[in-house]
Amino acid sequence: MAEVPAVVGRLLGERLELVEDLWLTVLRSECTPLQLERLVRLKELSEPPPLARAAAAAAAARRAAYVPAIALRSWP
Amino acid sequence: MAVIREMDLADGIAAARAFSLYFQLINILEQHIEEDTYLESLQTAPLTSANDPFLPPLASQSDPATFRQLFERLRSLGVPPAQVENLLRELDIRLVFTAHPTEIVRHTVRHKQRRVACLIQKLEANRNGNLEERERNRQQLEEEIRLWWRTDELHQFKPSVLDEVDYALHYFQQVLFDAMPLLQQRIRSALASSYPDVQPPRDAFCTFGSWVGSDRDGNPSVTPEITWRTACYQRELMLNRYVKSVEQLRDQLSISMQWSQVSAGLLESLEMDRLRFPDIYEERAARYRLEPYRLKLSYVLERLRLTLQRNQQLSSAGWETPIDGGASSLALNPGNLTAVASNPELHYSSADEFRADLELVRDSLVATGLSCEPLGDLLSQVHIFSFCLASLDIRQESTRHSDALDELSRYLQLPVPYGEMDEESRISWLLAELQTRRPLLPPAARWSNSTAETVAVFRMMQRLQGEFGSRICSTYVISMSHTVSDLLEVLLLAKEAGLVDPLARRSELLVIPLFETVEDLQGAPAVMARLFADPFYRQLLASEGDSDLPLQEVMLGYSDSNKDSGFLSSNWEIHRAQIALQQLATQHAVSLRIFHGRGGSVGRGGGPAYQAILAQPSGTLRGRIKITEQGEVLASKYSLPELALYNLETVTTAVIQNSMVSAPIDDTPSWNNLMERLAARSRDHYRALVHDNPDLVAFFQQVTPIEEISKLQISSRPARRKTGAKDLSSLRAIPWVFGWTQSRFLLPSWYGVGAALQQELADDPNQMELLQLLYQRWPFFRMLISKVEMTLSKVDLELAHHYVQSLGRAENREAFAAIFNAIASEFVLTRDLVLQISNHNRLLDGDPALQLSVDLRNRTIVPLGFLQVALLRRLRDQNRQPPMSEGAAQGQGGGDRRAYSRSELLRGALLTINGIAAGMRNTG
Repeated sequence: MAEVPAVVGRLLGERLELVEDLWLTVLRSECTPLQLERLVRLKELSEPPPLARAAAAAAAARRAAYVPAIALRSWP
Repeated sequence: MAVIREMDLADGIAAARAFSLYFQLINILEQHIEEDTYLESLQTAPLTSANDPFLPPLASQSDPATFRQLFERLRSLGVPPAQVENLLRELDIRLVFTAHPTEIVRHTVRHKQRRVACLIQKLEANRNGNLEERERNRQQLEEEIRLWWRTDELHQFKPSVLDEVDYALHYFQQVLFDAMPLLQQRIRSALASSYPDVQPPRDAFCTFGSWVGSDRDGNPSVTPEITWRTACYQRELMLNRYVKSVEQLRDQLSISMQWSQVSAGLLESLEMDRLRFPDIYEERAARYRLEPYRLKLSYVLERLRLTLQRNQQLSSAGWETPIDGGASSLALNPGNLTAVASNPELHYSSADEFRADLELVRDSLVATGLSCEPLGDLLSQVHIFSFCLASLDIRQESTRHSDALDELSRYLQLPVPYGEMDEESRISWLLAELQTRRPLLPPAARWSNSTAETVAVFRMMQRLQGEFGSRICSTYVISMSHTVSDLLEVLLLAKEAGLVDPLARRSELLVIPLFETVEDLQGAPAVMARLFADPFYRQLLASEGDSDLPLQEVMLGYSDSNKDSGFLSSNWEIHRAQIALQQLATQHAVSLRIFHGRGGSVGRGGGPAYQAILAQPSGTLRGRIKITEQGEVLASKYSLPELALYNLETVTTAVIQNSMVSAPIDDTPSWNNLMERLAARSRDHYRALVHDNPDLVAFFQQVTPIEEISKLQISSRPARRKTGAKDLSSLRAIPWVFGWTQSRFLLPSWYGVGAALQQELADDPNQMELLQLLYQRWPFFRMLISKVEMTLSKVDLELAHHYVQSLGRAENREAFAAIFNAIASEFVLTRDLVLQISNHNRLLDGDPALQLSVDLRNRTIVPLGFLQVALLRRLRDQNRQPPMSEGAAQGQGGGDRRAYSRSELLRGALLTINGIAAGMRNTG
């Protein structure tokens, strides 16, 4: 397997951090604390550590249970 | 979990918007990385080295190259300067913007994205700099994103055609005007380093066209008046741009005759100008008495302003009203038709006159040992954009012309009406009519609206050409072309409007057939052979550039052929058609230009342009290519200056690279036979599901958001060719691909590939070695497999299954389960075989940067999919019930199934569509 070009890896690392930070900062100021908590939770569930495949599978299962639950309970 | 279950629709909408924002920020980030990687590649030494024995052969090098890298490589391969120069002389790249049908992001939001992109760039540039400034940048960024968050992402109204024109032209104004001279500079500088004696290509080696405001196929909003106004608007933008540039030049060129000589030519022209513009002379002569360049540019400015004034008059008067001297036009526009109409020579009647004035200035500067880069850039812009900015291609569907001629033939009481003639009779009648001077259309006859408009388009074109020159609008694309008569019909209608002169055997119109189904692609060489063999038709083909050969342009459509027969078959038929058409053109001594009708997504011929160009059959490009640039592609390629330059540079290097490969790699019979079998098997498998399975249409309509996509108001064009029709054939390719992409099947981009490969291997398991070899050596095959690999990596069967289970109706459960299983099996099969052929362990192992990007998106996009399904289910449940008032919906409690109104639910669903499109970086 080929490697991610060093320049791309570096730029991505640096800027992803910036973008995610900006995103969170803006949501923090624009959403209610509850909404923010759910959004962060949803995002975390969508981001399993890349190497932990088992954890990823578990997260996927939790996510699948979680989102329909939102849909089913609050929008019956 | 208890708190989560309390989440209401507002929370769901907030989630959809938040993830949509996240993906759009990620898209900006990736664009910056692309830009910076490109800039870094310009700084570093060329990757190629004359002594590197491990470089792949030119035909197989698939990483985008810069000019420097390519020319260095060609030099190291010993390509003689004369060969490079000959190719550069022929270089002709045309990019045609067709921005309207797939751009989902509001123009307002695009503006915000650009501002955020600029601020991120500023922040990055100041990474190690002043802390105070960094904090200020960061503050501005947060402010801007907060404003964006409070802006509605959904289109508030269906855009008009002129809105779409405005959106598309934005890229020219913001980026391309300034980028194009830089592209010239880069190619010159790269040549100077590797091939110092080779002449650079002409300024206009890369030009632009547009369909926005002129493509009327299936879009009743594009009228002759709209096309006329589009042309005037483009001209106005261009002229204003030139006014600004000339004003700046006038400031800069303050050279005094006290200290510098001036050419005799410039002095003579000043004398002429003095006679033509005594007022300007009176006003400016005292000030610029000793500054001849400033005086000259004052005259130029005045002529540009008069040209602008005339353009405004033309725009207001409309295409049917003459403004020169006609009493009726004066009555329509009293008071304002003064200087221009009475002094027609004062404005610029063509961009050539403007260019000639600028060249006088440049020549005088050069003759006195001076140079001026902004003047060089302006001249370059005039060559590229002229006064028209982008040539407008007219497109209309073939039946519109045959219907018009049928109506005409019935009015004329021909013994056999045109509609009842067989193809041979049609050809004979059309050729006979084409060669007479007698008009066919009685001026006083009353036609149906459809025929009247068909005829009016040609008259409007004739008027446009008369006013603005032929470059503004000389191309007529016939979609759904099948036969010889399809082309002759257009020529006959053009003759009636004065665009074809039967005596001089000259046509002012370039008639382009668009072949877009598999059967039509297969039949294209026979159609063109018949036309090339006809002496009259042949004489109507004008030559172009330095070539003496008559030019024929043929357009090949990726979208409909893919929808019709699947990815593999479509790509193979286009590949074969190109080779056959090129051989035919060579036999008939005709110069051929292929126009590639690519979409943005892989399912419509999209994907990385560099690899796609390299994969064109060798010997078919010859330095010439015309390609559509569609929808969301415009934003991802042309929204930032360096990004635009990167794309333009790599398209150009790919064309040069492909044209330099003379090895007959595409002529290997065993490879072609293999592809022939694969295409046929893939087509059968695809059609068995898509066209022959009676439940597929219902499956597509229920388990994708296709119904809701049509409510997005992203385009002035209807989603279906025929109003009210629900069948697959009337559905356009864009919503077809859009629907499958949203529900994460992405079926049009890969379905049928696995089955075809498996059948081939079942016949002979040793064929895997050949497939692996082809992947290594044949750019066309490598491009196919790479595109399939890329789209497979974006498929999420788990999520797709959730769409089927949640949105499929109970009565379809069994049939839908069977369809889903067929798709899932084909997916697994295709993925496994593609991995074997590419020798990868995981999809996209060969492109880790893309793999990283897709991984990031695939994970984060999942919640949006689940939200979309939940919203679609509620919305569709409501749609099946009797309507209720919005007020009643608002007032109901949370326990009621109809707590939210349809419009609220639709709004939520549309927001998830926006978010998924941003995450997938594709609509349709």
